[in-house]
Amino acid sequence: MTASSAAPAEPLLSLRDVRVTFRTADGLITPVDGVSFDIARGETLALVGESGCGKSLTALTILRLIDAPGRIAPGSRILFDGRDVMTLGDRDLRAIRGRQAAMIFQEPMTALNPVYSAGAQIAEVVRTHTGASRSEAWNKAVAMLGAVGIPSPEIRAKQYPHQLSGGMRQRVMIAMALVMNPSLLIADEPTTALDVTIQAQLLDLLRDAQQARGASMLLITHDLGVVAESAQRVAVMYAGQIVEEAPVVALFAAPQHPYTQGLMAAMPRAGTRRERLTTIPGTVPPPGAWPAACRFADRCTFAWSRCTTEAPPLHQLGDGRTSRCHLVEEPARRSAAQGARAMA
Amino acid sequence: MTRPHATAGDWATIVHRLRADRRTLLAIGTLLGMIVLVLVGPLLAAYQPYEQLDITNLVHARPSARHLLGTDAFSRDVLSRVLSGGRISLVVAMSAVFLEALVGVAWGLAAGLAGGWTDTVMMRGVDAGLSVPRVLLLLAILAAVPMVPVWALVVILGLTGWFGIARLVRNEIRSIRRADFVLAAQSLGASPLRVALSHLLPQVSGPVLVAATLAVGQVIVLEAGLSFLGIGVQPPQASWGNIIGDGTEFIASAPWVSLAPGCCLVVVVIAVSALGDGLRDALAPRQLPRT
Repeated sequence: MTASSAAPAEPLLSLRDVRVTFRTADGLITPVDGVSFDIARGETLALVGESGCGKSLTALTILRLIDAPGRIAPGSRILFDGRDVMTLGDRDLRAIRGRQAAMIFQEPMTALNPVYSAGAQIAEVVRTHTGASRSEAWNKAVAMLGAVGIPSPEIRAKQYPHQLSGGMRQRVMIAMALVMNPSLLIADEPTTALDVTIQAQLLDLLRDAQQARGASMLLITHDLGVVAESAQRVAVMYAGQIVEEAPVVALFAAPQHPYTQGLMAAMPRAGTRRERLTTIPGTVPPPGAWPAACRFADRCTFAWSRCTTEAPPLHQLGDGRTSRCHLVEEPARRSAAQGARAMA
Repeated sequence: MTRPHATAGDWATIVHRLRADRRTLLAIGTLLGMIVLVLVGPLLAAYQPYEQLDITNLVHARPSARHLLGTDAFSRDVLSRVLSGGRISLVVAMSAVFLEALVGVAWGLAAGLAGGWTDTVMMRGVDAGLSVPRVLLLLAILAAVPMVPVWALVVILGLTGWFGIARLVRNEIRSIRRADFVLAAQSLGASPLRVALSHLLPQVSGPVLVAATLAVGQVIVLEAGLSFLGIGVQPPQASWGNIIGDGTEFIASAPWVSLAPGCCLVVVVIAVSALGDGLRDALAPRQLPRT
C-alpha cells in the first residue's frame, strides 16, 4: 500500500459537505452536518465515533440509502469512481449498489433475510447484477462461501441464517458483499456483534479480501483497536461533524482534538494497570440539542469562553491532518492542555 | 433448549411443530377426510342429488340401508345432496377466501409500501369496509341481485371480506419495511419490486395463511346463512345452507334433513378454526412455546 498523501490520483470516493436532514415533529434536524472526506483506491479509511454521532448515516449516504423522512440535503456532493452519485438515476444507482460498492452491516442476524438460505441470498446478488443462470449463481455462491472460510460450503449454503453461528452469518454477509468484486467496501461495525476471538478472524478476512482485490474500504467502528489494525487513515466524527482526520500512525502518536484524546484515554490497553477506565463525561447530545459553537465544548476538559461563542473551523494541519478545535490557534493553551493531560 | 424462530421459509421447523400438535393433526385429518368425501362421494353415490326418486312414496323416508340419511320433502336422497352440497360449500368458501387474500395482500402491500397520503387514504377505505357489518352488506347486495350464480357469489363474498387481511398485511409491512435485511437487499442492488415480492411478501405469508384459514371457517358459515335464507346458492343446486333451509319446515317430523348438513357444517368449522390456531402456534416466533 502506498501512503495516501503521496497518491495524487483521483480518489475512488469523495464526499464534500454532505448533510443529512430529518423532518421530525420538533422540526428539521441535521444528524450529518457537512461531512467531507476522500478514500483513495486501495485505501482503508476508518470512521470513528460514539453511537449517535452520524457515522452510520454517513455510510448510507454513499449509496443514497437514506429513506424518508430523512434526506440528503441539496448541495451535498458525492463522487464515486468519477460519477456524481447525487444525480444518478435509480437504475444506474442500483447497478452500483452491490456491484461496485457493497455494504456489510453490523448485525448479520437481522441483515440476512430469515426466509432464504445463505446460498440463495448470495446467489440473488449474482443474479441481480449478471445474467447468470440459477445454477451458475448457486455455484458461485457456494464457491464464495468457501472463499470466506466457511467449511463444507455446499451444506452451509442450504442452511438458513438461524442455523448458522454469529461468526458464520457475518461471513455470509461478507460473501454477499464480495461476490461481485466491488471496488469499495462499506463495513458498518462489521465485528461489533461478535465474540472477541471471532472479531480478529473476520477483520483479517476482510483485510485480506480487500487487499487481494485492491478494493477500498470505509470501516465504521467505535473500536480504536480495530482502527489500528485495519486502517491507513482515520476520520473521527462527533455530533454530525468530522472533528479530526489523520493518518493512523500520526493519530495514535499525537491526537490533536480533545475528543480524540478522550477516546484514546478511554481505550483499555494491554500491559498497563489502571484501577478504572477513563471515560469522557456525558454523552453525545442528540441532533437538535447540539451546542451552537463547538459541539464538544460541554464535555471538553479544556473548553474556555471562545469554545461556547465561536464554532471552530476544520483547521488544516498539513500531512493530511485536520482538527476542528480552537486549540490549534492557541499554542500556549495547547501546551498547557497537553501538560495537564500528561499529569493526569 | 431454545427453539429457533420459525419463518415461512423454514418449513422443516413448522412441519415438525405441527406434527407434535395432536389437535392440529386431528383438524387436518378431519378436513382432508371431508374434502375427499365431498370430492369423491358424489361420484360413488347411488343417486343424483337432484333426482326426485318417488315423489309419492319416498317423501321424508327415515334413514335406512338404502338411504343412509333418509330423503327430503321432494324424495331426494339426503346423503347425495349433503355430499354434493358440501362440495359447493367448500369450493365457494375456499375460492372466496383465495380472492380475499389476493385482494387483501395486494392492497395492504401497496398501502404499506406507499406510505404517506396514499397509505392514509387506502387504509381509511379499509376502515370504511370494516365498519359496515359484512352480513348486512351481503344481504343488501344479494337482495339487489336476484338468482345470483355461484361464481358471482364467490366474487361477492371475496370482495366483502378482504379488509381485515389488507390491514394485517399493511401493518406487517410497515413494521418490516425498514428492517435491516430490507436495507441490506437494497444496498446490494435489489429493485423496489424485488424487495416487495421476494423480501417483504414472504414475511407476511405466515400471518396471512393463519388469517385466511380462519376466514374459510367464517365464509362457510356466511354462505350457509345466505343460502339458508335463499339468497346464496340457488336451488336446485345444493349447499349445506340451503339443505338446512329446506329441512326446517319439517324439522319436527323429519329432523335428519337439516341435521346431516348441520353436523357437517359444525365439524368443518371447528376443524378449520383448530387448524388456524395450530398454524398460528406453529408459525408464531414471538410466543413462548407451549409445554
